[in-house]
Amino acid sequence: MKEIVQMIVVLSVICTICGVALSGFRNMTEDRIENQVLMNVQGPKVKLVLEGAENDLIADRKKLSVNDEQLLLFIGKKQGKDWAIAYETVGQGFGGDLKVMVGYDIEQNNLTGVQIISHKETPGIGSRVTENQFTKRFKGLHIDIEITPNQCPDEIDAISGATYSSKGVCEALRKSIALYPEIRKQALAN
Amino acid sequence: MSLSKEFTKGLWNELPPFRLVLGLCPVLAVTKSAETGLGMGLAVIFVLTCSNMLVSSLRNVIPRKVRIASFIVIIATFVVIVELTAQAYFYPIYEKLGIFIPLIVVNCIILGRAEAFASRNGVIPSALDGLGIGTGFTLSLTVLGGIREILGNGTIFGAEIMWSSFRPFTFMVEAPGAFLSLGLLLGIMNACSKSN
Amino acid sequence: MNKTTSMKVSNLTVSPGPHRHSGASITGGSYDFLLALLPAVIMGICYYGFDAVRVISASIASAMIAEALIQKILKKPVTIADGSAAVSGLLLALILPANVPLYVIIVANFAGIIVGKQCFGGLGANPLNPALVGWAIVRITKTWADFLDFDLMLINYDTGFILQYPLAVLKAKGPSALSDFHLGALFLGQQTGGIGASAIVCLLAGGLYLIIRGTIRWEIPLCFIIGVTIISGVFWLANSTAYGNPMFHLLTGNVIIGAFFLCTDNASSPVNRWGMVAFGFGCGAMTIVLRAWSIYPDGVVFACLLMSLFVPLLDKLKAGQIVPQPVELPPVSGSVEERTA
Repeated sequence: MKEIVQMIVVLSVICTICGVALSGFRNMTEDRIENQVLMNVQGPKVKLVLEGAENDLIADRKKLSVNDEQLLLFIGKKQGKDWAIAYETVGQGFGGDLKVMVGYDIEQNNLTGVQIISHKETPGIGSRVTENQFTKRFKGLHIDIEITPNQCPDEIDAISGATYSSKGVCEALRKSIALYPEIRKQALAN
Repeated sequence: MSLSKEFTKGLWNELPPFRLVLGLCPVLAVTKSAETGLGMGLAVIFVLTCSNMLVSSLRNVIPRKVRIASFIVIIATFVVIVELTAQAYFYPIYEKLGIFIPLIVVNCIILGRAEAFASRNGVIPSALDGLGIGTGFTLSLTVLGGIREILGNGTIFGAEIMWSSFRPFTFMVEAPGAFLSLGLLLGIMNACSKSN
Repeated sequence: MNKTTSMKVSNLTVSPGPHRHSGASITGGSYDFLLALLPAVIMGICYYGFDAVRVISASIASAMIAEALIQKILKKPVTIADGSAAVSGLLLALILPANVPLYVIIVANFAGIIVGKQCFGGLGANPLNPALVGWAIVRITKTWADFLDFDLMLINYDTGFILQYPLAVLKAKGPSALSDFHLGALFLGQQTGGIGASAIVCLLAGGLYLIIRGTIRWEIPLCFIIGVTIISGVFWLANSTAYGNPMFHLLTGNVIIGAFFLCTDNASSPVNRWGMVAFGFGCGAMTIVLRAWSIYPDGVVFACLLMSLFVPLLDKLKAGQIVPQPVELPPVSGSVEERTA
């Protein structure tokens, strides 16, 4: 009996100490990690989506809440004026979540670009949606475009052999466009 | 055995990947370049030394029946610390090492040293043992990564060193090249120690 | 193994299979191979001139140097005079385009001889044909694969026939684009391909010579060809607009050199009849499957390599097998070292 108590006590103490240490360490590094992820993962993609912006996109980011969901908004400026916004939505690809960043010109209400932030598609097949060949097809589309859920609009040719992944990107775009009026209003209000 | 021997045995006699043939999963997977090999090695040195010290200082407190569980908890803690640090300060290399940093938890070198050495020896010998084995592991990974990077990519630590018309032998940076170069190095090391 | 050696256990050395004896020595067998390949070599030189000479001599030389070097390092007796390394080098050269860079030939031969042969214990113990290992290593190296692409490499030659690799045409455009290739011309070797691999008629002559001499057994080549014919026939009958016809498959790429020379390598093919039948048929069938469905235009090399891995299994097929007679050994004491010392 004594042995069991000892085992339980020792293991619990070790686990508690480790847990406390780790949560403390996590708090210490959290901000820095968030920054690093923004700089290394989303940063380059945001720059591509908002090509031509003259400000520091990462520094000028904003946190918004739309429909009770937290959202990170990137604002691109030209000649000191707000020019375009970009934010991320999620679509369902063949292998899992497809995170897609879509940029909008807030004057013209059309797309400045689309980039895939992260994906779990099959390398060499579904992963081709990340290539410029595919993403450039979205550039310049107007937000009035009609997209049926889980389908690609007529303006976009799905990649042959990667239909599911292409539809996932289109689905993320549809969600993104659905959010656009609300986000644009909030962005302009600030 | 003197203290200096605890350190130096890890550099040749008990060199992890080549002598003990342990921890081969990261050896094969992260030696695409000398840089990733070195990064992985440094992570292992840290985890191994710290976990060895902690395990050895707690060796009289931990009941035998839960020792493996305790070791794993301790090792996992240090691995998560390494992971968070790498993520916060060395993001590019963290991305390249990917899943193999968390997998240090199940690296048999570390549990092996905790079980075979640190749980039976004092704190200072255990620290030296961890440092030595870790250094040996790092050197092996860096050398293997260096060979594969030079032949497979024409660079070393990212710097171009081959002549300009060199067409990289990409076989070496892919999986079969890893097995092949590991096997040949293993054979050469065996031949060396046999002839001594 | 005869009775006198079994009595003197102290002198017993166990060597890896095959133990089948054709009456010829290893050296004789190797020189038979070289002789049988001579017509194909001459035809290759006629078409590609000095470049072919360069590739063939560099390949043979580097294979022999690799073998001598590794045997010196491992302190084994140097056996390059038995000609097996020269055969590997020549076979590799014959399936390469005529203007492969020198370093590719050297790397392929060193990889083939050292990794594919000597690491497993030298001649007779190699589970794969060293020439094929060398070729495969170059082929799966993304940056070097172009060196094995006949269409890219041979573009500047004037050989008097169509400078397009027939199998690449089939892969890219389907059978309807094949009307330019006449079966007669293909048979006479007037086709783009490896230095010697495209000289079909010469290879057939050489192969028949080897069968008559008993250096290779007839089962493997025959079943290889039957396998290619049947499986490509099935594909062709199923959909003749997507797959080539059997005659075309037989006369192009590495099929003939594969059937007679590449997969008849003694150490990496089975020793008993039914094993050989299954092995040859498997190689032929796999070749067509790879041609039809893989990204590579030709599949002979990978087919032979894959089937060679099944050889230990195929050696267990018992029907009609030459069963080695069990020999009663007196009980021995002492360690292996003491006995073989």
